[in-house]
Amino acid sequence: MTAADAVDAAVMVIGSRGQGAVESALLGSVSSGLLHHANRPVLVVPPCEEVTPAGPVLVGFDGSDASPAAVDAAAKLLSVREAVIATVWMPYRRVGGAGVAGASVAVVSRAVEELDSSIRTGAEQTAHDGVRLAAAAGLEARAEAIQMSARVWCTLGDSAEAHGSPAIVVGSRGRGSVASTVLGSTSAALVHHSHLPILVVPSRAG
Amino acid sequence: MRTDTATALIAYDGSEDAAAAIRHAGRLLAPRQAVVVYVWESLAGMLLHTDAAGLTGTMREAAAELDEEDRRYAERIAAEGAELAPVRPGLTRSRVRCRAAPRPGPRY
Repeated sequence: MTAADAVDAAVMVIGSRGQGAVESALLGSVSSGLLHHANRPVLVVPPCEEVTPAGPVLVGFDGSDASPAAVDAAAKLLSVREAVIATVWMPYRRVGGAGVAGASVAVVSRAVEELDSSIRTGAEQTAHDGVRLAAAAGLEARAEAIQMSARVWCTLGDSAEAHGSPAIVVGSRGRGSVASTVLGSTSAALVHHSHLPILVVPSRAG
Repeated sequence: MRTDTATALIAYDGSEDAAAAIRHAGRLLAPRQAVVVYVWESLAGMLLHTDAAGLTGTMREAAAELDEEDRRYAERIAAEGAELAPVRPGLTRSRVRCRAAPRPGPRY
């Protein structure tokens, strides 16, 4: 990081595993340390195909403080000019919805449907907010509100693969992160498990 | 509206994964200058953080010689990393960074 400061680097690039990494470790200790302490975007490149997919870059956008920085970094740092601004939403049933004692099933079902519709609409609005930011930054972007499948990082990863994305861009901390952690659970899981390069952007970058 | 052409700092340790990362970054990143960094441990630097009472001048000289050898090796690896970034004209500059850490550890 001292070297990055010395040249005022716009981005740091690291392989997900270095020579010093334990064979079984998914992310090298150097990579992990950098991600947790970097004050600038870090591009983590896993061992991947020599051919770069030609689809749009996928930007995870949850409306948190780091989201605008992620869009800005995608526009400034990457060569790809097309982007999907993806907002993952979680239906109420997955949040933990359960039957309500004494209420009719039909009434509860209708209430849950209305609630899910409201959550989805909110996600669509968030994604469109991201598209406006992306367009202002010079990207040709489209919004996508995606219902969560298993976990947020899985959903983003699956969507990126479906779009043929060359990389995924995420803020270092999203809405669900504990305030005291620098690296959120979604960004951490992506850099640990994704087969695609991940650009992790801290909220104060850009 | 692409205005940012600031430097990309690329970590390289000579591994095949690191080489693939450089090649991939060359395709992903917008054109910009790159600095390839290989971090190495300075033995003399580490000795500064140990109890120096038992160190002889000969040992210090030996450490300095080893450091010089390591520095040359580091420069060679960093230059090799810079050669791996052929996609953009700007991704060709290498730089060696010395980490004078107080403890030994894996080279990276």
